[in-house]
Amino acid sequence: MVEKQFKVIAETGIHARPATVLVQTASKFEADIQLEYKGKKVNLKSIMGVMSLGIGQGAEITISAEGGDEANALQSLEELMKKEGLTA
Amino acid sequence: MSFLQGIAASSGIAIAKAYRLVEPDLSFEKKTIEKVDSEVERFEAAISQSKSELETIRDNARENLGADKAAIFEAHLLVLSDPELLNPIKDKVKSDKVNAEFALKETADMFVSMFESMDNEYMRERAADIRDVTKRVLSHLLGVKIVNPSMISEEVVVVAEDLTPSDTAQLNRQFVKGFTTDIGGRTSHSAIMARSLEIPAVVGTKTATKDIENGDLVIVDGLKGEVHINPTPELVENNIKKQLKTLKHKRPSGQS
Repeated sequence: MVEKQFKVIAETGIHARPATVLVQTASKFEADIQLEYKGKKVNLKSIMGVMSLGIGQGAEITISAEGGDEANALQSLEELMKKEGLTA
Repeated sequence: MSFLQGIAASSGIAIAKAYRLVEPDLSFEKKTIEKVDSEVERFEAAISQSKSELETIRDNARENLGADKAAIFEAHLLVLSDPELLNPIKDKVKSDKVNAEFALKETADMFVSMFESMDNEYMRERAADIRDVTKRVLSHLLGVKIVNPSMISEEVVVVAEDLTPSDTAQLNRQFVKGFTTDIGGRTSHSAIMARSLEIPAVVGTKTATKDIENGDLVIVDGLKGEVHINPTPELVENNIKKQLKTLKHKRPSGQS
């Protein structure tokens, strides 16, 4: 299993479009991908799970992946969040 | 003739025949299912039909309304692929031996109330998305046709209780001259869509679907928030004059 912590810097947090592209990207991988915030873990392939966390600016989140393509998955998600301006 | 006062949602005057866009009956009963596997298959078929329908709507929206508005349907499509929604429904069918309609409604309602109870307006609006998606899947499960506004082929004023995001995206600007709804306010989804489509609209009339019949002549005054049903010829003429005036105002800015 691989995991990494991130700090959300985007003013809007993880809403709408960023949530959509995160879930779309996560869904491309075989690995089980989890998003953890404030001790609550959700499936990163679930749009409703991700939105239910209500992640705002300044949130400390952890993404973990487990499965064949876990390293690739985590790296792609990290790059995507940077590109979307979610993380530094 | 009669008259309804609503909320001015999108300016301009529309004069056309009424087209009622009323929700089909999506009621169903809870049933015990013996062949749970084929019930799950029936559910999966309804999901894939809903997806391909939404893909068409999304592409229409992208063309007519822009990528921004099409994103709503991108989100709807994701809801239809959401394992946290689909798996509990299938599990429920299997373990409780209930029909897919019941399992879908129960599970979706749980998510709807979860989003509705959040202290963030954006999240509360997501509840409407889930409802919209649920209705679409239900219609396929029940074999009921959802009224399809993209099939409108003459000039009309659309009359509805409310307009969902998927309804509005299917409205063809060439034929839909205006709309009026029972519920909604200036910031409701239908009002925002009307302004981006530049279609005159009056929302929140409370009784439009009750008072207006298919084919009634309707004037929608999106500036005053007034709706006239079967108006006198004088009133029609007056409004045509007003319409021409606004058109003249618009032209110099490059709008035709």
